[in-house]
Amino acid sequence: MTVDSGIIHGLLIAATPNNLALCFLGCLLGTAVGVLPGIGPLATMAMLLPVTFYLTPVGALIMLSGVFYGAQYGGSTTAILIKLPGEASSVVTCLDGHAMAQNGQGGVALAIAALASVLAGCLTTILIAAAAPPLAEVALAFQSADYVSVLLLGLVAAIVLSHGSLVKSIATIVIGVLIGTVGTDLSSGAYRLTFGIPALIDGIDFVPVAMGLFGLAEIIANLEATRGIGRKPADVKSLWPSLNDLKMSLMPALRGTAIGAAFGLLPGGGPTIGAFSAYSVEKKISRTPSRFGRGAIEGVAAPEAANNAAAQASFIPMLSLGIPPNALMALMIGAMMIHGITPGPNIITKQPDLFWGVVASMWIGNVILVLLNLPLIRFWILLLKIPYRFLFPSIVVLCCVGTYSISNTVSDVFIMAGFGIFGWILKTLDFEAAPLLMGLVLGPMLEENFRRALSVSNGDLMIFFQRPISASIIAICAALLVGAALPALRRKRETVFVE
Amino acid sequence: MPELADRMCSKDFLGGALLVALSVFVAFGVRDLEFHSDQGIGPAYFPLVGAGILLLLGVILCVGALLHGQDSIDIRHGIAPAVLITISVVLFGSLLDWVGLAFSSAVAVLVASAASRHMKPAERISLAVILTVLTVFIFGIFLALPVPIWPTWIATRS
Repeated sequence: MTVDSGIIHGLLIAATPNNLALCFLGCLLGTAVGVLPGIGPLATMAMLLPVTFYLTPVGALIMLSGVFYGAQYGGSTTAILIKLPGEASSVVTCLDGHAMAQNGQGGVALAIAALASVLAGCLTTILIAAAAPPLAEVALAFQSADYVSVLLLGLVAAIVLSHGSLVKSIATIVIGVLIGTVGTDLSSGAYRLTFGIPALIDGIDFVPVAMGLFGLAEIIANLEATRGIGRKPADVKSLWPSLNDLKMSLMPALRGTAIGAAFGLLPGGGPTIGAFSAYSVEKKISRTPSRFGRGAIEGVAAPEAANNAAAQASFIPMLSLGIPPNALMALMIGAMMIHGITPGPNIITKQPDLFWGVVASMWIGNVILVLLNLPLIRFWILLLKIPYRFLFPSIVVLCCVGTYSISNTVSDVFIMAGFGIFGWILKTLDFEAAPLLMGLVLGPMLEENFRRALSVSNGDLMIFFQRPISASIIAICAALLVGAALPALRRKRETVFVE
Repeated sequence: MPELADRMCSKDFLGGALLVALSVFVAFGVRDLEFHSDQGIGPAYFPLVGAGILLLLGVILCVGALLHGQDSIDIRHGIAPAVLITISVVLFGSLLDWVGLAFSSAVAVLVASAASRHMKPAERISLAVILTVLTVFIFGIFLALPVPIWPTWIATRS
């Protein structure tokens, strides 16, 4: 069927009372889970998987998808309010989003995050509807060597977005990658850097690190700077974005959507790398890059659009090829298989109900999420007015229990404490924490694909430059790095000249 | 020479020293693993490459700090918040399996709130009570985490 009739067909399916209720439930659960630190959409979806047995295939996928992108919205909320990234992809929103909250623009930040996300969601839904199969073919052309360059691009993006010295940013990323190597090496089965501690055999999970580095370290820094009073956020000027705010956010949101969709499409990509890259691009092309990190609205609009676009675009390889780009999508495939459906290239023709129903529910889900989140802004802003001395112990306890809830082991709590101290050390020495998280997330995939690429080429490192996709992406990385290094070099030359 | 000592206390020098220390630590940690294996790169490859990069960057930072002299490290407000918050979390983790969720949360809140010098005892206690109730309700009951809410030795007695 054509795209138009497909969408209408899909809307009819998605808009049945049952499916609407499931969509709403998924979005609600997803938002709640995204706001609460610790439990993420993956665990929630896993818990819901047995429930989906009693649902229709379309209903099951609709509910699970709702949880997935609902979590994106929820994660942004805590990122903006208390600089705690609920999701890996909200780490970047922490930077300018929280700064905006400190400037009294918390409501604006939350609203722009929601609006940018819904814009991205609608546009990506159209993209999926119109071009899923050909886009999936593009994803197929990527091989291990190309993934390595894509991931390198993500790391370079993390370097570019940092404010401080280039050397320190590269260092933090490498530290993140090294933390990612802790645990059991997949190909040899050897224990790496575990030092005989059983808790480290499975590696170090993202959540305790993020909680420690961002949540705890932020609290410590705040208390230190203000002798225990805590910074008081500026008075809230208005809850809604002004027309100017909307104008300034439009192009970043559109660019973010494009970048997010591109990364979501590629296996190994996804919301995190999409959000980081979108932020870096905005910072690079802005005429006033110094505003970034201090409350630039583009720094919220672009990554929020990107992470939502990536979340939805990652359905494309999943639905059309049956290739799950990440663990979440693998779970979706699991849900489909419970119902006896195997995703693949023919799914659009063989299961039009499923495909178009899911696509249409994405659009409905986005609308539901905006309707859920916008009125809540008033409530969230009230929360910000609580005096800090009451707020910070709450955050500490929330982080503690949340971290424990991931795998019900106290070792995660201790890891979080350790990273709280490490985050404090980093802050004191003027290192940035965000690139570390990027390194932690991308490191394992980088190593895995690097290993595969080398085994394909029999140890020849030139493979990264021989494959056209890989070579062009590496060229972009080099250009970005040089572009980031030039101003620093110029400044040094200037000071030498002055002396 | 006091200038040299000053420069060694600078953020950049200490940062560089940290990086060097980390790279040595990692290299030590993977000393028994293979760099090249039969199937290609071994488990030590990535960590050692990373450690090498960190070493290089650390040296660059240290040398740069010694030559230029950057801002000094700034911990004039003391390390009390860092210590207290960390102790609070560590206590939570240590006590959780022993005295249950309720008491662990309460202790965590009380210790964390000590990091602020501006709370009256009544405020600290009421905050601890409220947060304990909320935590137990949300995580213990609503989300039904498999963690004991009360100390196990009280439960077995009744």
